[in-house]
Amino acid sequence: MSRLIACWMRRVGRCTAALLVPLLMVTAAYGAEVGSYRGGRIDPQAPAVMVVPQGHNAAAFYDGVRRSLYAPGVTSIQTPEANVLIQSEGNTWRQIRNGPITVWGGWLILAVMVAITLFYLVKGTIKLHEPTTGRKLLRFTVYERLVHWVVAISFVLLALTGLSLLFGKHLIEPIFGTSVNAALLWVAKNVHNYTGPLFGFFLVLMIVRWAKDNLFTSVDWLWAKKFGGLLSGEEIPSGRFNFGEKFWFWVGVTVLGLTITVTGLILDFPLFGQTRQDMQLAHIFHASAALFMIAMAFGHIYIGTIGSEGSLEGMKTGYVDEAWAKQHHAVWYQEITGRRQ
Amino acid sequence: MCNRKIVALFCGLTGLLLTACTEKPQTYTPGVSTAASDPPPYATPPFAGNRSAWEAAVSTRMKGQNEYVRVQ
Amino acid sequence: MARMKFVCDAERCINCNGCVTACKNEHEVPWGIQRRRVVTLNEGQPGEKSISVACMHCSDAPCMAVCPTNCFYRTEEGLVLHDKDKCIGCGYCFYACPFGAPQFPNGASAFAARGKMDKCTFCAGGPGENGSEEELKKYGRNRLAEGKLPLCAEMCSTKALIAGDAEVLSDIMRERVLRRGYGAELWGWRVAYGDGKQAQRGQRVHAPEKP
Repeated sequence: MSRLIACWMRRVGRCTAALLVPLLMVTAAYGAEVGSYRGGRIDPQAPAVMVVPQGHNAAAFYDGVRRSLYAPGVTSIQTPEANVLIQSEGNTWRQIRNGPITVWGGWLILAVMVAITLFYLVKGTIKLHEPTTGRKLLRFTVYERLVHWVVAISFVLLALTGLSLLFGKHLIEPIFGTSVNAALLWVAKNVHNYTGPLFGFFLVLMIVRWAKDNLFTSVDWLWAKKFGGLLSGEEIPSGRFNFGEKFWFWVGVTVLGLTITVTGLILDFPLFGQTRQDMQLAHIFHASAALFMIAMAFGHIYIGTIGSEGSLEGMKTGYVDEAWAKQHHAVWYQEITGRRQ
Repeated sequence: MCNRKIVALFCGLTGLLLTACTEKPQTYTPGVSTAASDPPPYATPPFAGNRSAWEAAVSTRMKGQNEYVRVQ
Repeated sequence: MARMKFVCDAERCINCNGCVTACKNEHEVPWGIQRRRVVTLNEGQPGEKSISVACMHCSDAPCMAVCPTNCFYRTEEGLVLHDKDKCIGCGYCFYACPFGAPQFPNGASAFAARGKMDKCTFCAGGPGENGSEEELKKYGRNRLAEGKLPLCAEMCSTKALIAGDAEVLSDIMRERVLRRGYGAELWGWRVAYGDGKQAQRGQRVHAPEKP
């Protein structure tokens, strides 16, 4: 089970190496430590039995037990992993969660918020260059909008509840006290656990629906090179989705979203013999990927609402003005209207 | 638009997030309880606040676990 | 002031599970939960050892560090207790604990949602009035408030499991080791309370969390 997960996690790690370098560095630093222990599992290399000489102190033996070097013991208690006397991975997980995930995750969210605020103050909303024509183009069907908004609303709920589970102890508790924090987190945990599977299901529908339109084309190269003209202010032509949207789609929604979904399901349904180590690994990847996705989502939400005039309209009503389409998605405009700019 | 409000909101949230750097040490300090509402074991009858009586009672039991003492 | 600890003398434990039964009966622990368990290592081999393990009431408790609601607290005696009213059943303490102490009763709810965490209280109950009906129901009997020690240790037939102030326990173990000439391990103490003098003072065991 955990081998499979580990293998799968490595694959995910490779695919998103560029984005997840910091995450991988963190995991690598502690990975060696986690990897050196094998809680609840028999190491084929290690002796199953270490004979303790009578009449001597067995410090080395107990140290081996602590580091789970030997086969787990035998117990009459039937709960899972009851035969594991001691697991040291727990404290490693604690240090990763309370250390890098909480501290760096907090700084990441903070930095993104500050960056977007500054960008907004300096650059302001991207206005339409030409007056609206009143002629509308269908951008998103009812099905697409439904799927998008289910994912969006559940994402916001999951992000808020998830962040409160991580930071509530530091943000809510000092102000409102332990009882209020505990009551809020009880609600948060349940909302999180029940919304999660819904998010995952609609996320998959969304990926399937939009994968084709998000395939990279030669037009995207220019957009990527000029960073979408976000800084220069010029408009780079793009298809139905521009490079920024495609990056968000593949890295944010697909890789991070699916990582969060799969690890979330492992954490949400502890019914399939998951060991504590499986849960610790799942939690580390769940929390890290979620923090990255939230950071990226800030950018997506910004550019979809106050960042760009007329963008929200497309996802709200399904239709966009011709002027908006011409300005932001020239190739797409040309494709569906047959007209040159 | 309501630029000011948005900026104020972001600044507020930013300030709030900074408090995340408040991981408190939680090591044990002998004789100090971090309980919000748990009276110490000697607070209620039969000891009714008599700490030394409670300590003596528990101490007797602790030492009673040494059977070498008992057989002497 | 006493710093309460457990120690199980692996040279004496005979895997009778008396401590497990005593605990279950004394506290009327919910179905499927054992606050204490006995694990036998090298079963059937020369050098077989049995150890009774429960919450060790660590000095720098991982459960306490990861709890999102801060439902844990530490008593004057160094015991790590928790407030079930604040527990949300997230399971983090269970992931973090080295000794597998925190456990969760399965509620009737969907998604295998965890109930309120339950663990060894060193027979010291929980928040609220000592010895009250409510405390009994939620946390079990408060023997410490009656001037008694945990029942598991008090009724251990071979006195393998002993409980009480760290210095008293060390003295008892020292005397045993002197007489039999081996078996000096204070099992689990390094993990729970750190090394040497640190353990005596009950200070931090693990390296401080790195940012």
